[in-house]
Parts: sequence; structure tokens; C-alpha cells
Amino acid sequence: MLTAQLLIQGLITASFYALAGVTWGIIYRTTLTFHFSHQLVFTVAGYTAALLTTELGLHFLLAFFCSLAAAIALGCSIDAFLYRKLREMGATKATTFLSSLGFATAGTAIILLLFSSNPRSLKGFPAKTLSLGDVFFTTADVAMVAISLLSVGLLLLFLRKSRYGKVIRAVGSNSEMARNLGLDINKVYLVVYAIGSGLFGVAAFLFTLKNVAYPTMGIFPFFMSFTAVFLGGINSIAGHALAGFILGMAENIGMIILPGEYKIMIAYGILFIVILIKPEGLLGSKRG
Amino acid sequence: MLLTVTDLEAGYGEKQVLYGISLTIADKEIVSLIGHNGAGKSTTLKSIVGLVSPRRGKILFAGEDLTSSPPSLKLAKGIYHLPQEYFLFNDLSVRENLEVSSFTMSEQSLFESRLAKVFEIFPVLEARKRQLAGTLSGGERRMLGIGMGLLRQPRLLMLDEPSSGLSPVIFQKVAGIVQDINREMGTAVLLVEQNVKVAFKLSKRVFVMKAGRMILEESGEKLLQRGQWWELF
Amino acid sequence: MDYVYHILILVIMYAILVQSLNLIMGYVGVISMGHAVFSGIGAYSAALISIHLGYNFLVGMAVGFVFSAIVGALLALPSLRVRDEYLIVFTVGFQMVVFEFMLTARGITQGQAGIPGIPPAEIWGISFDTPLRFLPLLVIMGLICFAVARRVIYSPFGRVLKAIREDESASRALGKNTLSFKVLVFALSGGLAAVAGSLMAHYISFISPFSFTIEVSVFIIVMVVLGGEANFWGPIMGAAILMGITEALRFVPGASSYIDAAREIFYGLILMFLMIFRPQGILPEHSKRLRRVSLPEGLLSKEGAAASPERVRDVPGPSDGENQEPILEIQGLSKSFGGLRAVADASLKLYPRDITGLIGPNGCGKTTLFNMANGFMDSDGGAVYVRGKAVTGLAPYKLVTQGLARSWQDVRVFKGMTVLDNVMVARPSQTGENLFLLFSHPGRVAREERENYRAALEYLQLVGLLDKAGQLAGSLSNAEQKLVAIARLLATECPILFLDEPTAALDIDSLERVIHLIQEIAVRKEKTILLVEHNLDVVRGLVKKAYFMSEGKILAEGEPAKLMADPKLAEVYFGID
Repeated sequence: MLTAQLLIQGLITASFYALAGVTWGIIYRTTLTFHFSHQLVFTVAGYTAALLTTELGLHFLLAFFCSLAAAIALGCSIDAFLYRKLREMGATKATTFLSSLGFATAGTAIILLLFSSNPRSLKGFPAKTLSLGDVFFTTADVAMVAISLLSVGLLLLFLRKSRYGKVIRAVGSNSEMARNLGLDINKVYLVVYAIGSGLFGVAAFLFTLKNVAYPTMGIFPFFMSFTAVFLGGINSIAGHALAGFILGMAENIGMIILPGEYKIMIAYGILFIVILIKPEGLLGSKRG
Repeated sequence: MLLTVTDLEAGYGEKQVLYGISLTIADKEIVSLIGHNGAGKSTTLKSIVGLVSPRRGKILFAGEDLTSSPPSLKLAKGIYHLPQEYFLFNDLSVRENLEVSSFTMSEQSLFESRLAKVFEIFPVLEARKRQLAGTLSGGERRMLGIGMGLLRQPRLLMLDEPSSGLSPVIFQKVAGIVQDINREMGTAVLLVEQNVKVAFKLSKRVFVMKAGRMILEESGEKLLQRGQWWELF
Repeated sequence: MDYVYHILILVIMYAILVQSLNLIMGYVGVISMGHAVFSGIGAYSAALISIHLGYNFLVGMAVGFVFSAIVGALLALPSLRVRDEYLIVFTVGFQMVVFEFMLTARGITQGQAGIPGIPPAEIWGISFDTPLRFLPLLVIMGLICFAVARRVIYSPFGRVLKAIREDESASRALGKNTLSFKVLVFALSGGLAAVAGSLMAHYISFISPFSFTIEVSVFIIVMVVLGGEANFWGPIMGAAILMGITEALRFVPGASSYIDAAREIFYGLILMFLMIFRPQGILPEHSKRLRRVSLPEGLLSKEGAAASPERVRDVPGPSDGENQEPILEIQGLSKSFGGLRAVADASLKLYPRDITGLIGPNGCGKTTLFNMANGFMDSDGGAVYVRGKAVTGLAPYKLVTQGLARSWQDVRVFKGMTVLDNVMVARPSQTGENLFLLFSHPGRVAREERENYRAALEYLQLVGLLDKAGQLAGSLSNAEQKLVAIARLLATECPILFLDEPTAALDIDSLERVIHLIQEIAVRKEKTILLVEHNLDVVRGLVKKAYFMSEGKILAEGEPAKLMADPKLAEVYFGID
């Protein structure tokens, strides 16, 4: 049945967007920086995975960890060398955003330059098509759903239960107070960028499993990630996940009514309407 | 003297708020700082703790020159500052607030016992330990703020208008607790207050500020005897 | 040679585009990630109208202008009510949605394939089909667009834009309907971008959605930032440099295969380095030299000694309150936040030319009452009357028209504007602030500017800052900024002035000066003043009558000496046992 297929498709996309949402959300919520270069982290992770399996013939699991490492390295470097410097200079939010935009633009083009626009795929993953009744999906899809949801769950657990998770939430809640209590804000920010970038790298790996790596691969997932954050409410990570999930489902269910090319209109339509009714977002609260 | 502040000048950007403030606090003493709104009382506390960088003047604490030290260092040395607002992590629970505030404490093993002591002083905090700090009442928020400070067992507790937002009854309670803390734990207190009667009762000495300057230093008892204080404002 | 013309054409077209974005980014202070879309609207309008309807290119351009202006206004309305970050999200969404539309609405836009065969521009049989012929047309169009932009920027309208960018609330408090200004600028910006787009359509004779991608939007942003935001020549500088270097890259051997990527890397790096090392761009907003302010004759002789501090210490004698009607009356204003009653049924009266105080302990509700009375907060009940007319619930900018203006505890002068401009922007009923009348009645606008110029200088002389008229307000000391704020307030010509803690954070001399000035304003300029103050010395010295508030209620009114003799009030102010 078409609807059942679309529902499963929706679940897959929804899981992906939920993960994407929390990765940008944890960064934005804690640092209030509009990290536009997040898309680059996705692209770099995807390419790392693809290239290592095809050019060097590495096992896909090894490639996974390498792409994770690459994502974390890039994300942390951007914070340590670009954002931190801007923070110390007292740069405005607009200035930081524009520099992030510049870095993302240059970085994406460098990848295009190095690897051309020919897509690269990931080799060595046991890709099988499975079926449940009339519905078809691949092992890559299963990985996408399972790992995405698991990652989101682990992140929420970490933030809620672990000591450092509480520190991260505290910095996001009142960074001034945190600083006065002796917490090293720069270090906390670095950790947050590591977590956010790492998880986005995971998302990129899963994406490349299903599809291919290409220079602009990070743009659309990035857009969905920040849309999910603003839709879900800035200070609720659970909200980011929920919003991402809703966006993913809506995109696929929307295909029942509209032809498939209106993904962006659906997403922004939902965002627009929700912001109009509840500006803080679905699970958000007015920031004190 | 535990704290000696000399000729402090400070402000925000082009705005100068303090035009040469001097005050002292002895070990285990309760001292009040009063004056009209905008006289610079909060700014004085912020300059002492380092949230506002002093432009001139000196701050000596336990014999050490801490004039340009940042707030985190002042905390490590034993000064805890409770501002009038935004002193809690609203999105965290009561217990989580207490946990986070002790994160940089050097003696982590003492956390549980100190936490027990805080809950003993403020039973309502223990009762509400899972509640989000942002949903607490005004009095409970103050108590949590003071509790977070107590975990660090400071030598000097600086409270900025703890009565604001509290009903007189609750404030009496908080004031009583502050007195107990001073007596039992030997913590010196620098109290900025609008409710001057209570301040005079609690304090050994009182400093009066007007328009960025110190205009009077007097004992709490003598000031209480005056009966009316309009000319101080 | 054709190649050189081609480059010049590209530079001018982009300069128009960049100037149009600069109107938003430099003057409203908003980053729009979807500006390429507006030129796309212009381009598609031009293409469709000239191909399907066969009209002259000017018709298509006009239609594109109007359509784009409307879209710009519609985009502005929701976007400007939300936080900055949302604006990025909205404009990105706008860009992506319209791009998606251009790709998918094949019936109109022919989708990916684009629209080929757009006829060249033509007037009176002359066809501008070669670069050599197109250049003069473009230069003329460019001059017109730049003239329009220039007229807007260096006008009372432009002055308000700057004020809004500096401090929107303070602008509203001076009587400006800031939302309408911002929406109009968005509309104009969209319209000008559409003009550039339609010219491009007729020049290149082929358009597709890929000419209006987010990369192009970013490219325009880079040019704005490079040239210098809020500087009239910045866009030309930015367009020339970036286009020049972009084209120069073509000559690097072997570059053609990776020219696109190289360009993107280049833009990205420039943007990054600009933000780190020179965020204000190449051309700064203000020239380093102070603006020379020429004084009209007769100004110095008349009130030359106005600023000398003869200490007028005695408070003006009591006006016969019984015989006069109150000029402002507040009846039963109330406000609750959740369960908390911040203000409960507060009433007060202000009589003409009196200085009245509003005092009380911390948290008594006087700030809330103050803000409700001057339109910056809604009330839950009650009414406010100015000269007998109900003004309850009016927005601040409308209250100014009714004669009520306020100052700010944190001063809020427009730091990036000159002292003179700070005062001039406050002048009421400026024809030049109306975007349409600005162009249709230049004579009237010029005359009013001269009159306002003189009036502003007189007010500056009154507060003693005439010699600093040409300096940036942000470079003045705190005390001087307070004086600028007072001059600015006077310039509104409002008879009722609400002063919020005017003596906060002042040294003794400045405090005396401000007190003296306030007295002088009440007496000589016949202003009615409501003063919120915490320094009771100031209250004692200035006000005739004060209202004492506690816990949201007005407990007492009367002369300060009388209030301070009341033991009940003392208990409230100093704390109950």
C-alpha cells in the first residue's frame, strides 16, 4: 500500500531529521551561535566515509569511526580557532554568523574543487532490501532509524543524568552565572561542538550509506536541522528531536497530497504557522 | 579586617557609577550597605566580586590583593556573591542547581555532607529538590541562591537586596536564617538592603551611599535609634 | 573591448543589487539571506511580459518593481516582529521556497530549463542588444536607482532608519512608527533589486532559477559587507572589487575548469577575513572629520547665556491646582503578571507646568505605572487622558502625537548618529519622513529641514552642547549624553514629559546641571513633567508634589516634606519590623 510505504519512508526521514535537529540544537542552545558551518561538518564526514571505503578499501565500521573523528575535529576546530577568537574580540552575533557563512561557503567549494561534483558512494556495507508485507526498505534504512533514534535517546539521557550534561545545560541556561561559579565556558563550548558535530557526522555516515556523498550534501540536512530547532523551541533538546520527527513525517505524508518536490514549502509552512501561534516553538519556553 | 575596599571607582562604559567607595568588613561580621536606588550599591558588590572591573581603587581580602581577579577566583578565595536577579539556572532542578554550583569545588567528597547541611537549613529545598528552579517562589529562589553559596562555605557572603520580591514574613525568615548562618558557620555577610530596619537590626555596622559616594558609616544600633532616615536617601 | 563593456555592465548591475541590499543591511540592520530572489522576480516579470505580452521592457520593469516591492513588504511584516535569528531562518526559507517554486512551477517559469530568447531592451526603435549599446542604458538606469537610494538615505526618512537601527524603542518613543519605516524599506529594496534583475534578463536574454540561488544571495551579502555597510559608495566599491577580482580569476592559466569553485572559495574567505579583521568593510559609515555645523545668524546673541548655571534652587510657587484642569490624568490603571498585582488601581493628575514626582521603594510598581502611561506596556484596566482626550492603550508613537514623550533611565541616545541628528530626528511632523512625499515635495522637505536645523541648534544651545553638535553621540560622556537626550526630548515639542531617573549615575556637578535644566524647562518652556526618581535630594529640590507608591497602590500624594513626615510612609519605605 502506498500509504504504508510512505509512513515507513516518513519514519526513516523523521529519524534522520530528529538527529539532525538535536545536533545543531545542542550547539545553538548552549552557545547561541548561529553555526552555519554545521553543514560543512556533515559534508566532510560523508566524504571521509565514502572515500575511505572506496579509495583505501577500509571496512565500513572503521570508516565510520574515522568520519566521526573527522566531524569532531572539524567542528571543534571551527569553535577553537574561529568562534572563540570572535568571542574574545567581542564580535556581534551578526558578525559571527557572517564569518560562519563565509567559512561554510569556502569549505564547500574547496570540497568541490578537490573532489569534483561526481558523487561518491560508500562501499562495503551489506546493502540488502528487506520487506515487511508490501513495504520495502533497505538495511541502510534500518541503520538510519535505529542509530538515529538511539543517538537522540543517548544524548537526552546524557544531558539529563550525567554530571557534565547538567553543566552543559547550566551553561545554556545562564552562562554568566556559570562563569562566575568557576566553570570554564570555552571548554564547555568545545565539548558541545564535539558532541553536536560528532552526532551530525553519524547522521552524515548514515546518509551516505543510503545515498551518496556530494559537495552540497550538507545543505539540505542543515536547513532541516535549524528549522527543527526553531520549530521545536530553542531551549528544549527534546523539542528539537520532536520537531525534526514531525518535519520528516510531514514531508513524506505530504507526498500523498502534493507532488514530491515541495519538501521545503511544507517544512517552512509548518514552521511559519507554528511560530505565528506559539513563537517559542512547540516545546519551548520564553527565555528568562 | 577580612575585606578592605579603598577608593573604589567603577562604572559601565562611559557611565561612571562609583566615585570613590571605601568600606571594611571584619571576620564574621554582618555589615549592611544602604542607599537610594541607583546610588551604586549593586555596582559596589559587582565591583568587589569582579563582575564589573574596578577602574581605580583597591580590594584586599584576607590580606590578598584581589582587585583585578575574576569572579571565579574570588569564589575560590571565599567570596560568594548572590545578585538580585538571574542567579539561578532556571531550566535545572533544585538539586541540579546545587550540583552544578559545586562542580568546581576542590573537595568534591564533601559535597554530600554539605548538601545535607543546606537541606537542614532550608528544608523546603529538600522537599522541592526535583522541581525546576524557574518555577520556585521568590523566597524559595532566594533560599536556593543562598544554599548554592553555602555549599562553598564562603568566608564572605554578599547578598544583593535579598528582600526584593519577598513578602515581609518570608523575608523575616530569610533574615533570621542569615543571622543563624553567621552565628553558626562564622560567615561574614555584606548585605545590601532596601528594608533598612531589618538591616540595621542585623548589622554591626552600616555604610550609607548616595549618588555613588559613601556619606556615612555608623553602627546599626545607633542608626536604629534615629527613628527616621529620609535624609539618608 | 566588448569584454570591458561587459565587465562594466556586470559591475553596475551588481552595484544596483548591492545598493538595494545595503538599504536593508546597512540601514535597517537586518541580514537577508534571500535577496537574490527579488532580482529573480524582476527578471521573470521582465521575461514573461516582454515575451508573452510584447510590451516594452519598461513595462516589465515597472511590473517587476511593484510586484517585488509588495513581496518585500509581505516578507517584512512577520519577519520584523521576531528575533534576529528567526529572520535568518525566514529569509533562508524565503530564498529556498521561492527557488523551489521557480523550479517546480513549470507552467509559469518553465522550471529548470529556464526562459530563453528574451528580447533585448528597446526604446523608440533603438535596440540595446550589444554590450556597447546596453552600457549607456544601464548607466542611466544605474544613476536613477542610485539617485533614488541616495535621496532616501540622506533624508529625514533615512535619518529615522538610522535611529531605528540604533535603538528601535527609543525611536518609537520619539513618535516614529518604526514598523512602517522598515516595511517600506524592504519594499523599496525589493523593488530596486527587481530593476537590476529585469535589466539582467534583457541583457543576457536567458534566465533560469540557477541565476537566483542562495549562493547568489551570499555573493551579494559579501559585496555589501566588503564595500562598507551604511555607506553610500560602499556598494559600488564592493561590486567593483569583487567583480573585478572574479573576472581577473578567469585569466589565471587553467582556471576555467574550476572557476566556479575558486570564486566561491574566494567569496567565503573574504567574508571570513572581513568579519575578523574589518567587519565595517572598506568604507566606514562616518568620515573621521567631524561634520562642520554652521550656525545661523542670530542664534548666539539671543540666548547666549542660557546654559550658565545660576542655581535656581527654590521650587516654583504652587499653581492654583483647583482652578486648572489637569493636562494629564491617569484613572485606575492596573496590571497583573500572572498572580502578581504589580499596579492596583492607580490614579494621578498632572497640572500644566508642574513638576510632579513618582516615588516609592523598590518593586512598588512605579516603573510599571510609568510604562503603562507612556504606552510601553498594556494595562489590564483603567484609563489615561491627555487634555481630556482618552489615550489609553495607544502605541508610544501615537502618544507623542498627543503630546506625551518620555526619556530613558539608560539614556539611549543614538550613538552612531551625530548629536545634531539625534535632536533633528525628534522633530515632529516631518514631511521628509514620508517616503512618497519625500520625492513629490522636495521644496517643502528642504524648507522643513532648514527650520528643524535651526530649532535643533537652539535646543542644543539651551542644554549647553552647541559646540558638540557635529560629534557622534556615542563619543560623549554619560552626563553629556543625558543632556542630548533632554534636548532630543524637547525637540519633540511635547508639552508633557516623562523623565525616568534623569539623575542616575551622575557626578555632583552634572547632577546640579541636570536639575537646573529640568527646572528651567518647566518654567521657561512651560513643560509639564512627571519624574521617577530614587534620589530623594533631587525629589526634594525639584518637585512640587509627589505621589508615593507601594505594592502597586498609590498611598499618598503631597509635598515631599509632608510625605516624609508621615510615619506610615516611613514604615513602608524603610521596612516593617
